[in-house]
Amino acid sequence: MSEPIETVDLSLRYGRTEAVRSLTMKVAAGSVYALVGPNGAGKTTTIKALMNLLRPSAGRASVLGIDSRQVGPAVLQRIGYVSENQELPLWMTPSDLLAYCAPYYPSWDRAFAASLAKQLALPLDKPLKACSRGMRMKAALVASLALHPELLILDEPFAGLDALVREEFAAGVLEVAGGDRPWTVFISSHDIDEVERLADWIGVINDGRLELAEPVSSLVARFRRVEVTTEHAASVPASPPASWLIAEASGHAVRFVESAFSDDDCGALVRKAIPGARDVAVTPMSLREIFIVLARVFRLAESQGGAR
Amino acid sequence: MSVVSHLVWHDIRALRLPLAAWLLVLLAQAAVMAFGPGLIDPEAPRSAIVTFAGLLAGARLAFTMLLTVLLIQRDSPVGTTAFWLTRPIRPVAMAASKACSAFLLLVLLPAAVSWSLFAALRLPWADAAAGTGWAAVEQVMIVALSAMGAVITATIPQFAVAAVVGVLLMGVAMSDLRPMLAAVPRIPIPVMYANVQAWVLVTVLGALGVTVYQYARRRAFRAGAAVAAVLLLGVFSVLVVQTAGAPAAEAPLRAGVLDPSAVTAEVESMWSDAGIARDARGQDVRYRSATAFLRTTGEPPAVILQPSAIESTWTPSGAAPVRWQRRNPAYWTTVDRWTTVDRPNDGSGQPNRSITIGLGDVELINRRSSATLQFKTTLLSLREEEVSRLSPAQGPLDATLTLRAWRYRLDEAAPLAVGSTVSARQGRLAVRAITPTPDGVVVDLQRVFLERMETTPDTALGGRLESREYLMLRNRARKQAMLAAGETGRRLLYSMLEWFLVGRLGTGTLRLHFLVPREQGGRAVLDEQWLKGAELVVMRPEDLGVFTRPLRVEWLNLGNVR
Repeated sequence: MSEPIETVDLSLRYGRTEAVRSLTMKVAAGSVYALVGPNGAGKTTTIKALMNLLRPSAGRASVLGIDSRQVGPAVLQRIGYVSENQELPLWMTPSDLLAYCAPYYPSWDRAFAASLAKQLALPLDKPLKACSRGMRMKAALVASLALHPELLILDEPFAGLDALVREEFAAGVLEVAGGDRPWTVFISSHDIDEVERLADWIGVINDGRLELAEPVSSLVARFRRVEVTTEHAASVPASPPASWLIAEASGHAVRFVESAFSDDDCGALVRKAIPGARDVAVTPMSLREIFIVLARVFRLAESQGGAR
Repeated sequence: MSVVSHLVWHDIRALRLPLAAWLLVLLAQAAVMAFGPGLIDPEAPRSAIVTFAGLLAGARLAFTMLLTVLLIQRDSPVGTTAFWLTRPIRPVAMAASKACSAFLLLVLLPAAVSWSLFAALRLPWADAAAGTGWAAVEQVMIVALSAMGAVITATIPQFAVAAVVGVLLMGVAMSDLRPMLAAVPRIPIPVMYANVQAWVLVTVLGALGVTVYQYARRRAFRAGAAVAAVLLLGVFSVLVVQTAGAPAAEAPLRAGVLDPSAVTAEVESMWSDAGIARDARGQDVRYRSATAFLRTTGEPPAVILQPSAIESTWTPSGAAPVRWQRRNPAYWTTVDRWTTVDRPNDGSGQPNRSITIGLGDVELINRRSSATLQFKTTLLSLREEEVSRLSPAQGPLDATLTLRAWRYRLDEAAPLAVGSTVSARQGRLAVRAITPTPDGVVVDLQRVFLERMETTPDTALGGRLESREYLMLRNRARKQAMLAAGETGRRLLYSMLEWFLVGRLGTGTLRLHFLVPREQGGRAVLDEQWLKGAELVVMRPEDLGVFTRPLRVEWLNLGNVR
């Protein structure tokens, strides 16, 4: 059985600009997959290709087993989609929006929609144009969850939302993701804290390329901030191991991020690379810290001519 | 409820405010059409109600365009952010819903208002249906053209730019294609106004095709190219398609009308002139032509003859045959600034005789200034370089002249009383007031006009003013009749785009002045008794068919140019 989302060498161009470059990615069924990356990295373009809003210039993508170019009403009946860029019919109330969407989905669950609206404190009779951005996103979320989607695609859903609304929104997503049915959630976001809370898989995209993709737990497990205290004035080794990122030295200390941490051999590896190492302090990193480190690495690589 | 009706219902809900304004415009326009003529002062140089009617006609056009754009762009097929794009809605269903919404709100709704208006104005059912149909065709055209602009743009400013480009494209194509297509054979279609119908058909089918394509494929540039192609094809169809031979033009002479052998045609005077004309390629060509006044004799007094074609092949000695040509249609004239022939107005000429006979041999109190008929026509027109082989003068030239016979007949008559109605080409006329004056009588009429741009025997032949319809007064007991000496009127136009139509729609006023001629010496011809027994009558030309007669021109001299 094919994965809910799968891309192979997917590329998209806007004129001369290559927004997505040979992106190969798999999103497993039942997972919550977060695609993160800086602005302009290609997250939204990738999602638009998956939704058949944009046509790939090369490669292919499939959604729920269907080629993305063939994504039409039959597939869209199984997909919930919320995007910060989507133009909602602002003249409608959330109640109108739900009534408008309901006939298109055989699986539409009115009771579930009502319960979600209540849970998210959505004012059903207030026109969307008079609602805050957060309320509009919640209305779009309810309109995307009430159909019990097999795949929920969220494109920057947290952008511009205050903390409370973000919390409510994430709770809504978690509820369906953790419900009886194995729904797959594909989310693109800047908000690493929410991603860390929601996602079990993460893909990092930069300049159109997928730089890494792995379970969040694995990523968090293999990244450590390491500080090495030396007996003499410290310096960064001339040829540090490839797994050491952002290495720098000051005074009697060398600091770096270990991207392939292992409890067993970390100390030995450090002492081998830095003669005179006295103490080695290892600190776990949050997903946000990891993301910032990776962003710095990507930027550094770009400034050095694209070398990775 | 089907997906299409679900979408249509939401279109109506989404646009309820502009639609309410649209309905208001339609109702206001109907009210002005119905009651406006009663508010017009015929003697005032300007009328606020006429201006207001014009504004409402403009608002109707603007609202039709705006609502079409709003209907489509609220679920735009351009871009990637429209809500419907990520919902399981079939593009064909979305396109169909837009077509249904536009038809329902912008064609059917105004058609219902038009029908109600015309019915309330007591137009005959056939005229009410025709007027409603014309208004609907105009709406369909505006909607189709606007829709093509709306499906390739995402915002109203973008649409405005596309609309300007489209209008310019059609204008340039119309002017540039016309000379290029002059040599292209016409496509005859046996329906009235075939070119307009072809244009409407091309535009509507093209708009539907572009709309479905753009909703299904969402490729704005390709759709834009398709829109340009549809516009050009529309212009092409207007220029190339024509109504297949008007039946009246080919009808043979009706039996018993006249004895063709008794009719003779002759050139009464002739002269040559030179000029420059533009050929089919748009290049200036110097030419010389011989123009003549023709005169026929031998026709019965009630019948009027007009030449409709001249055909002859003249073979100068040792030269290739030269086909006689007419550059302009022959037309019936009494005074011409070029001619030295100036007959005294003896009052015995046409159309007076045809009119009086048509009215039952009445006396025409105020005769139309009319001379014996003569017809101005171009006998021969040659390029300058071809003239040398004919000079200085040659002949004789034998030709076959095709003559059309027609006469005036009484179309309708109603007692001259307030409330009486007659149907004329100017519309349905209802008498509103009859005001005797020292010089005669003034009759005020209210018009509901559905002026057809129809081809009648007189207009087809360049008949000009003298041969059109007449509105007259007749008193059968006194065996007298009277032509209107002058008329003034105001029109409240129902539409801004008469060029879409094959006629004009609207209401208005018409004031007819029936004046006693001065030479009657103050004789009270139109006294109270005369007016009581009077009728308002409509006289129209009746086609009697065509026949041919020989014409000989002894000498023709293209060298002596005046």
